[in-house]
Amino acid sequence: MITRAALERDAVIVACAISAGIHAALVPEHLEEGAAAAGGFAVSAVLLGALAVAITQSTRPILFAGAVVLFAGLIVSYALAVTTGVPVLHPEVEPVEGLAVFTKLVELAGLLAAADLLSYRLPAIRRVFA
Amino acid sequence: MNRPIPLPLTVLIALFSALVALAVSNGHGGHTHTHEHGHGHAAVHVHH
Repeated sequence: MITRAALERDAVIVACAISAGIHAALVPEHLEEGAAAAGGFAVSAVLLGALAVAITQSTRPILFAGAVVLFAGLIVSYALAVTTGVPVLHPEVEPVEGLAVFTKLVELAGLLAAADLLSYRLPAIRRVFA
Repeated sequence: MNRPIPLPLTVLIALFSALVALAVSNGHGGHTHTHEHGHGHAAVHVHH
């Protein structure tokens, strides 16, 4: 039987994989806007890929906390990119595009799954350290 | 927790996502190119 925790863990892994693939593919396109923007996409892709592999091999809470922070950072960065621009990395305001919105929805699903996993694993962690 | 999604499948998902992203972003570029081509044709007609 598949548990809720297992489903949420798979959701986090798949969200990391989808977002990593899309960010990696968009690095060359963002090189035209500057090295900082392309570098941001490349670093995001590497971190997302590393998290997908790490969460496949381990269920340490720090990994899910990392996923929450990374997904939240990417979503906030995109919100800034389409409203005010991101200082240094992407100063120009970007138009809203379907692919980006799809990516943010996937990241939001990953964020919610990771946050939920953390929320009901925390009591068990506290018991260990009590 | 049960066994997670296999790593090779995760890699396939990432690769497929990258391919779709490339297709979508190239599609945008191709559209612009077609427009430019259309303008070129219009210019040729004016010369005749």
